[in-house]
Amino acid sequence: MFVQQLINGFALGCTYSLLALGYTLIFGVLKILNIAHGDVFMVGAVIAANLILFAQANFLIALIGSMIGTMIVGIMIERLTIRPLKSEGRPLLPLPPLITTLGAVWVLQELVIKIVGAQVQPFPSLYQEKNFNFGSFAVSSSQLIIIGVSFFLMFCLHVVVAKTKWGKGMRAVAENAKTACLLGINVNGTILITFAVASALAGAAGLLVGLSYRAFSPFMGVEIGLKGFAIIVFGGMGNIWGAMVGGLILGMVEILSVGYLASSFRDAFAFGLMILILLLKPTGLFGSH
Amino acid sequence: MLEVNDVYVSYGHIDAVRGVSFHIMKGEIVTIIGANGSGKTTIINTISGILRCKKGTIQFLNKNITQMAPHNIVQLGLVQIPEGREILTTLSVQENLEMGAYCRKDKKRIQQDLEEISLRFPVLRERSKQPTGTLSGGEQQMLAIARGLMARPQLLMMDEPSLGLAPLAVENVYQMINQLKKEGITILLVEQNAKKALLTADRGCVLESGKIVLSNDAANLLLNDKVKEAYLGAEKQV
Amino acid sequence: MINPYLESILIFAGINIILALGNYFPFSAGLPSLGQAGFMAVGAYMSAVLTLKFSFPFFLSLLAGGGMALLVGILVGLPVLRVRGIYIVLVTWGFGEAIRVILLNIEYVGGSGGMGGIYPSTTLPLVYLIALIVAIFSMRLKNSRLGRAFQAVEADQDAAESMGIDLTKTKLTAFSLGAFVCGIGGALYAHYALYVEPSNFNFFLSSEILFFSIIGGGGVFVGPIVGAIIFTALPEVFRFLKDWRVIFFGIVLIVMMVLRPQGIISRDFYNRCSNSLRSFLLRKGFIEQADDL
Repeated sequence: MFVQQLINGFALGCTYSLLALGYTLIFGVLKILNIAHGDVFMVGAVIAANLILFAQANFLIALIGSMIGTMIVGIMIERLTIRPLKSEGRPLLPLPPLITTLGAVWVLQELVIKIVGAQVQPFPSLYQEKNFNFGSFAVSSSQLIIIGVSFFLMFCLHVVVAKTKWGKGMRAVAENAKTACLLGINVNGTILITFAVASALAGAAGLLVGLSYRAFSPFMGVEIGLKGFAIIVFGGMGNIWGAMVGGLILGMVEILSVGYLASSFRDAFAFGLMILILLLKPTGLFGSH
Repeated sequence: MLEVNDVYVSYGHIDAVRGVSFHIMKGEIVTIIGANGSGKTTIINTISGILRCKKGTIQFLNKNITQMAPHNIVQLGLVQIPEGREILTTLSVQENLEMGAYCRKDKKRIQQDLEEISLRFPVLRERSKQPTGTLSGGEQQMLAIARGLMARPQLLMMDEPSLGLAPLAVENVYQMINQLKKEGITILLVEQNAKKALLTADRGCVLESGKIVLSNDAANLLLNDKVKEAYLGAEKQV
Repeated sequence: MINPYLESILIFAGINIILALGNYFPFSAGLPSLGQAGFMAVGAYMSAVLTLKFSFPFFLSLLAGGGMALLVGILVGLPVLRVRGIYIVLVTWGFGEAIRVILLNIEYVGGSGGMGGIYPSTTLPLVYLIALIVAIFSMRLKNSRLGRAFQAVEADQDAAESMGIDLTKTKLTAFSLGAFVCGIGGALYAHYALYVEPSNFNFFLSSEILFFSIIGGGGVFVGPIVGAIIFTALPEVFRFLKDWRVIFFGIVLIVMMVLRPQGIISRDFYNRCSNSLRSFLLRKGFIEQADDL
């Protein structure tokens, strides 16, 4: 029973990690909280659902489609709500982007409501669910896909951040934007690419969450939003390992709490973890940038 | 090579730089000396494109770079070594050097340069894989200079290279600068340590409250009474 | 008698004004809160329980609702004291959600089904009387010692502390004041809508309350009032906005932050207006030299 819960939690945690990575990448290069990121995730789920429903897309196409779609939305958010706030030589203060991205949440969520309606809708299924039994626990095909795809994407991200030009540039900008400028790094371009990558990951997470919960709604962005922030506060803002590990931990804690405590307090655990780490080690488990 | 014409830079309502003009020719070392807050870093950051000037023009290699984006300016070969070194601590020494060549595309030459640089800066070669936190102030300055050289600059701008360094380290830094001078690298040296700067440079400008008040050959400035009183008197302990 | 539709708009505007000022108190002390809906919920539920289940007189339960919210405000304010900047937004957001989740789980107040059948005790004159009281209080606060302490903490809390301002007391006061006022707003809302459920008091509502101050102007108390009025009244004046209200204000927010981040009523603007008003009144002999607006 315990192992089963752990596996369920791990699968859920993978999706959380993908989402948290986006938050942490954006915080790393801009030092701001992008509240609209949760809605980007939601848009990913919506796009994937519609691709499967109306274009008979298979898993791969739905994945690529939602990632491209969310990439575009993410870039638009950066161009329209963040870029206009920057000015010469002065650093970006944290509150204005918070407000503009909050405005973007309002716009995005409402637009989606107008297009697909406000109710929770069933996410179309792609394959026959199969369970692989291992004695005292079982792993479903959904969970295998989620864990597989998540780890693949996280591995790709790791390689990209460590080896590519963008990755190195991003790490430089995250540490010291002014010096990055002086090294010839196109800071604005790097930020744009960071947004694109973060949003694509959110899109993938949207598809995976839709598949595992069999449902999606325009409100899932805000619902998951606070959890995303809680994870990066817990793991360390701007810290990629922190986002990955934090997401997995939250997933497992949530599922275990449902199994052993009341299910109605599940959503409060994210918040609890956040308060805990703020009181004990405010820079986060792995330290922030 | 570099022409700064009548440049005005302000922070909000505060005018930091007022009508500054000077030029640098190939192979020269020009120094700008002045007290804290006189506007030296502002000028250098404006040339690098990090700040925008209200009025005036800046030309580099006959191109107008006044409105150019900072990363494009670096690609032209105008490289700044910032005040306080600004080493990237999340990268190793080696990676910092590689970052210096970020905007270059010639992979093979970059490899060659990396090897040359480590020959020239033996201290860095010893510590190449180490995190940068283990370097002393003087070693960090060497790393910053090496990193700047990795970009194969046409013009190297150094903002207060002696700041915060022990006298021995300052000696080493200036030995390196003199070495670069012999190799014909054009340098703009911004300094508070007027004596060292004027001894090394060919020409100098004195900056006070955002304006250039004196401009002459370095040798003459060293003998100038006003300069001696204001900037050289306090340098006795160097 | 006023036509009931107009009356409902006016009542909502009045309640929004109260909520806006409730958000403004912590905001003006440098504590931007995204959790005021939580305090509103506490006030709403507390007062509803008292009038419904214990037959308390309305005024008493109104105050008790605010009082309960104030206590919760102190509770929430304690961890907020320990964090700075962006973390304050996250912590208040979290607490707002926590309150909502807790209410979802209390069967006594109806759980997810909420509570209905609340007495319609809220009247238009009452709402505006309370709004007026809170507004006048804010005006007085502005030039009082406490108000100046708020401003100092908002500008630079380290400098304020070195000037002898007790950060803990100042921040907690700002926060619990805001919670109290939002609690009262919640109580008024409950006795007008006659039905409350936890999902009413969500993040969306908290962000809306914050928006009143952002759009109207966060530098002076008149700003949130103007923001609340615009938010409530504009969709009524321009019919097409009714459906597009959310998108419209979302865009307004973005544009506002880029073009005029100080909001419609900036501190400068308010000072200039109040100075001209003051000199006018002086000349006409209505006030003495020492009066401050």
